[in-house]
Amino acid sequence: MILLSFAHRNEAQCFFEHFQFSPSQDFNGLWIDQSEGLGILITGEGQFESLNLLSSLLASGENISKVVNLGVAGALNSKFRNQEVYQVRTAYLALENNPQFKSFPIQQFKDLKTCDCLTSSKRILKQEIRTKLSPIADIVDRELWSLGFACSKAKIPLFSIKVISDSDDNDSKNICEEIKELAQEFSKLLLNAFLANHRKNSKGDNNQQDIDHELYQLLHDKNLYFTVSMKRKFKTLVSKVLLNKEDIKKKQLTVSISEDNSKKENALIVLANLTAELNPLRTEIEGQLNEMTRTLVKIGWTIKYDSNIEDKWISVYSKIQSSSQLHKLSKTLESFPFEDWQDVFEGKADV
Amino acid sequence: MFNRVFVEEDILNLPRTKKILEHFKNVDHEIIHRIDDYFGRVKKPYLQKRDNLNLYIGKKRGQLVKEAPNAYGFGSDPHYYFIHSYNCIYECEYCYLQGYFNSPDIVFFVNHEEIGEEIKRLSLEVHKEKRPWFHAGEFSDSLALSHITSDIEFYFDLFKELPNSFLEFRTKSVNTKDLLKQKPLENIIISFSLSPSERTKKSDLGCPSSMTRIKAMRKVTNAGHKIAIHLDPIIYENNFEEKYEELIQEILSSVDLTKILYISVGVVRFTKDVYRQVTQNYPKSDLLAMEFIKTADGKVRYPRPIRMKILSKVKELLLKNGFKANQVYLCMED
Repeated sequence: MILLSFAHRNEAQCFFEHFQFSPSQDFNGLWIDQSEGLGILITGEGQFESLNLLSSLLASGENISKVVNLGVAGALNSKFRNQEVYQVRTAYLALENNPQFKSFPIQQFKDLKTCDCLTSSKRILKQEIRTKLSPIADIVDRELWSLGFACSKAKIPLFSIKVISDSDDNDSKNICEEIKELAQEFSKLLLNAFLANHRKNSKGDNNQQDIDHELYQLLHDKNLYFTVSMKRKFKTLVSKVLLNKEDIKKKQLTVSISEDNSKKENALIVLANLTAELNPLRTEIEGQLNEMTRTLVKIGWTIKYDSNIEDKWISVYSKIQSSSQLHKLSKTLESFPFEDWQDVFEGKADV
Repeated sequence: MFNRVFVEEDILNLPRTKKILEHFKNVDHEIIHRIDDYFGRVKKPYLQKRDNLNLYIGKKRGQLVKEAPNAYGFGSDPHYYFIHSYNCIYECEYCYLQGYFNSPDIVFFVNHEEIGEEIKRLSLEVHKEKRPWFHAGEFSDSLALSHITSDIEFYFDLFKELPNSFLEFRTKSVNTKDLLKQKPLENIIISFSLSPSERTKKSDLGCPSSMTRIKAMRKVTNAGHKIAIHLDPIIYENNFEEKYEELIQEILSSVDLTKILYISVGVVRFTKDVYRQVTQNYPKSDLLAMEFIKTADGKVRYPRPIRMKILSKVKELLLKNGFKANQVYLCMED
């Protein structure tokens, strides 16, 4: 469901007329149009109201794919005029007219004029305050930053369309009354902008392509078992490999798995193959290090080295049970090419 | 170029400020008390530099000249960088500025006289027995906007009086017009950062191509200026050796090797914060298609054997092509 959030019902009036919304049985304040896959949430005015209500809804388990905030905003930038429609690019916050550091980038539709919005803890009616805050953002509202906070925590994309309701050449004391009188006009402008844009692709919508890549099917392959950390590693490696090798096939990664192995061992082979695809040079370097330690491993020593191949140490472990064994081991260790080992870390090895 | 221009009230009437503002007659300038009241006060997303870049003009306060980190520059002399500008009009995918200021907006500081005084103090008092280096371009490209800032002349005049000190202008720009008006000085070096052509296209967004930069280098050396080259950052690719061989040949076919004072070589590296910014800003960049690890110094780099191999291979290529060992230095590597 696409959730449309408004501060006031008046702002949403044309949406109620245009779609077939009915109140949700499960969440007070939510209206749903099942056939269109849309919901409306009236959050109330202010940062706390909007944060509380949207966070509660997102936590309630409703299946929300994106949130679109719609509403009126005041202009801080003197070039912005009443009834112009913009989408927001970044949401900033001011508490008691003091700008706060944290901001939230807002997703963008392709064809709407863009601006930045400052969510203010106070209504801004004085020109002096507008001037103070205008270097930060072009427009001011009371909710968007909070919606950005909730959506960023829930990892749900947030869009925002705003219509300018009062600009800085309109310093009237009765501004709230004036906005109320024009509410239907504002709502109509928001509806038109929403209808014209929400079905079009938004900027940067091509991430889906990656997630659909056949490599991700390996996570559900019945011959493989990935632990949680292995899954995480798999996803990271796949996303990196796909940056250079979009045409990679899953067969390339599973060619060396075997029915004789456990499912987890096979998953480890897939991860190793992915690493080799991503970084063949590392694989060659590790091959060289492994070759140097082959004799030690053969006679039963346990070998470890820095898994990041950053530090030059090597750790060797063996249980010694006889003096002849000790003699053999010490001879093998003496002949270990430690200088060559160090050379590999200094980039001198010929790989 | 800029959406809005903000000017500190203290410096509004300085001739240098007025000269800068003349370039932006069509943009309203707004007077503010201090740059710090706005710049970096809120987190402005880095990629807004593409369509919402502002300019701040003000006075640099606090430390004007800072000691450079170890292995920063050529030789064993003391190295400093001075701050006359923040941020850059270019958009290199690996740039550390994206994690540095919390805003991509450009800042010009106009109190060059005070910066100059500090450079003089360090040269004539603190390091009078040594040959200190001063680098411009740590937080900005030192030539890209020089036609607007008009600061090149000031620093040439300053270093004419400081023959035992060196000045380095670091750049990826080909904006040499103001520079070429100056009479070359033995102690002023213009250094150009270069990467192979394909890499420049992919990662140095908005920058002049490698070939254009090489042509600019020729123009600068022909005018008698000394130059240096930074092959930094090198980004690993399967055939990086061939690409760097090609680049070195291109350089040497345009510029006389003896005019190149030094050439630095460095492998791509990030602080943890910058690496996070790169992954957020350029998630599809192929520079991320390689394994990075966090090293003991907190930097994010390629594993040691890979970066050492890159450094030694590129050094080998340079020596093979006629560079002297003392012309080459490995940058920011232990």
